[in-house]
Amino acid sequence: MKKALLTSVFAIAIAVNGLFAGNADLFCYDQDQLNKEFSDLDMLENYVKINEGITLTSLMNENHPLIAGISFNNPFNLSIPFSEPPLGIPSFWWGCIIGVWGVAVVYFVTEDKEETKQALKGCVVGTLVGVILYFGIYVWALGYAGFF
Amino acid sequence: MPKIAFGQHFFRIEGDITVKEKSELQSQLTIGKFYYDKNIGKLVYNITFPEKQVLVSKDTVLYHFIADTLNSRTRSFDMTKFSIFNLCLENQLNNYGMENTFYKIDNVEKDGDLVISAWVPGKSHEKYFGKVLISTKNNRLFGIIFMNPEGKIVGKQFFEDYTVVDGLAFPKRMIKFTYTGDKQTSQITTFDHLKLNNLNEKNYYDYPVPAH
Repeated sequence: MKKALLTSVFAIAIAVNGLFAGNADLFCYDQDQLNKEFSDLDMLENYVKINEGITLTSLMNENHPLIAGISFNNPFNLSIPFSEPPLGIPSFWWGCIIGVWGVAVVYFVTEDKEETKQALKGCVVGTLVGVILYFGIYVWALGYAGFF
Repeated sequence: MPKIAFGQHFFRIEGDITVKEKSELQSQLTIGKFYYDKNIGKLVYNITFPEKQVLVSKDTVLYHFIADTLNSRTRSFDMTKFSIFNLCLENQLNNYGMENTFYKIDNVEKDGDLVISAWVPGKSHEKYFGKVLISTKNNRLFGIIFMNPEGKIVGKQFFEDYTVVDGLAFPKRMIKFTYTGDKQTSQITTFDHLKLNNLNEKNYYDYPVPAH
């Protein structure tokens, strides 16, 4: 009876322990390793905070030893290009069909250089097509009138 | 205006921010100030290093200004709602705002001084999203572990060195690890000189952006 009771107590203890243990080990990291890893950036941070107004470009220009060996990346690379044209109509067609006014609409609505370029391309293509069509119709009309 | 007039309703937060990031090949140091007003919904970073610039996040658009001139406008994930600033002001930091997502709480366990809650995505999202473990210590958010659908850890985040400003607890240091394959990116974000409900600095809290 005692043995059975003891076994039950052990079983419950193991079950409870199993229920409440395990995942805490995942919530840890090596603080010393992290400090070591960031020591160069820590020094740079302190220097920048003391020397208010200093920029990376100015440090690069003077070949500052604190940035030697550090390869900087663009900190704002989480985003993707914004390319939503006005009313969802591709910017190329704004320029192609409405011409200069279409380019203006894209420029003022999107304020996006790439979209405006697309509208400009559309404007050039639209103008060329217009000119070719104009002369084509003109030549056809002359021919129809018996000039050729 | 006396602080008592606001009671416990916090709607603005600002402070100094420093972000240090290290990956296998590159490093990053960003220093500046942040401004967030939950009613306006703009998260503004006035950055002084590496170069002077202003970043404004509103909804899913990130505006980048150099010398007050719009330099670029890019589509981004919504940085405001799940920013630590909004979560703190909304008093949702303890569960990282998970209650308002497609995640559902799976179980809660106590392990040492940590209380760990496991969150799983709803059926329609479990193909792309994995489990999230959130731990609290002394009733404050301590860490988050993000897993992929296969159960592999893809990110860890720790919230440390809490300070209390006008009754609002805010972590002054965030540590973030991101794992991509066998590569790790480490990031340390620190905050200082935190200020709540500052009615000045409107030019930053509501930094003008194009209306569309």
